Amino acid sequence: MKNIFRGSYILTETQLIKKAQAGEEEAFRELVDTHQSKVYNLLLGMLRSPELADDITQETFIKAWKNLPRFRLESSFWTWLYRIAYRSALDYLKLRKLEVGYLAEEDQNLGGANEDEPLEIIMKKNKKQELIGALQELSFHKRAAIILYYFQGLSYNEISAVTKRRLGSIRTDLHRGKIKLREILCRKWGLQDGTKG
Amino acid sequence: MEPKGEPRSVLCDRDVYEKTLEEIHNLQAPGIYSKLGEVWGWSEEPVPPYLIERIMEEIYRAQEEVEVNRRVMLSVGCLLLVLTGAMLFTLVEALNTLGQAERAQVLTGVFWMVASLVGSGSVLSVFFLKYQEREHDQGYALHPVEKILHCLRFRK
Repeated sequence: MKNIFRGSYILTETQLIKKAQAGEEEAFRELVDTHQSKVYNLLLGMLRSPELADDITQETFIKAWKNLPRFRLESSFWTWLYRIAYRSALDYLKLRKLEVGYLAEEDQNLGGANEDEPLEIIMKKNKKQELIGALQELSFHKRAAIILYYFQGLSYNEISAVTKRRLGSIRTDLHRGKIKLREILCRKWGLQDGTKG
Repeated sequence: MEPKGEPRSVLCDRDVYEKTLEEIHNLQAPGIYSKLGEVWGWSEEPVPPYLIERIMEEIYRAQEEVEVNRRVMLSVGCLLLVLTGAMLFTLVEALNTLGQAERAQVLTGVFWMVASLVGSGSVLSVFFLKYQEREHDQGYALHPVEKILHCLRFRK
């Protein structure tokens, strides 16, 4: 459990959650500060656009604040936040019908390479764009499964808790998503797919 | 020299590709970014510095809204109680001035009026609650009835 230094004493995350549940906004601010990067980066992978990730991260924390009395400390706080973030992203995409191919014109959105930046940073950004671009070609559920399992390191049970989907569906999405991702990346980079011909 | 696990070098072999992904899974966790994950393009993107302030502003605003809503709900509730009391009092007074036959007719009319008001009110409330239950079903939100109770709860 992460300890958070506050004034002259240390509060555990559980204590902060309880204080926030009692209506203490400053305790919630510390929780936001601790978890905003995780939520933002998850949403960035799922939605590709920093502006959208920004908006949905805000929405996630506001929903979390409003529904905090519901959180019973049975799961970790980030799992609960991920669940809200996942549902908010899914609802947003459903609402705007943005599924596949959305924002194709906004490739530069992940902080396009700046000429003044060091080569290493430019290469890192390009790689991120390529990976996130390839992930966007997958359906939302496959994309979420790949991101949550491989790039967030979650277990099947944790993914099931976040997405509220059955383990079987998650395994299928992960398996198919993995194959599709490989095909997309091979196609993108003009590589020969070892499984074909 | 290419870094270990470079996607271009592992994609051609399905087994190596799958092993590399498994390795990434083992190294990564929420908020933890491994070198191998970075090689694949999964690196930490800095959060805009204004984000926390925006979130907190919205939360302060939401808190104020809750306070206002609580006052509005309590005021409307009290007003409805007073109105109902006044209507009942007027009705009883009016009924006392009427004969037996007219009284039965007025009572029947009042019964159906109240029944239709309660019926339509209930249907509307059920639709509203069902709509509000959507988020609750997703496993993180308060039930709408809990939300109302939470809103009515007096704060220290």
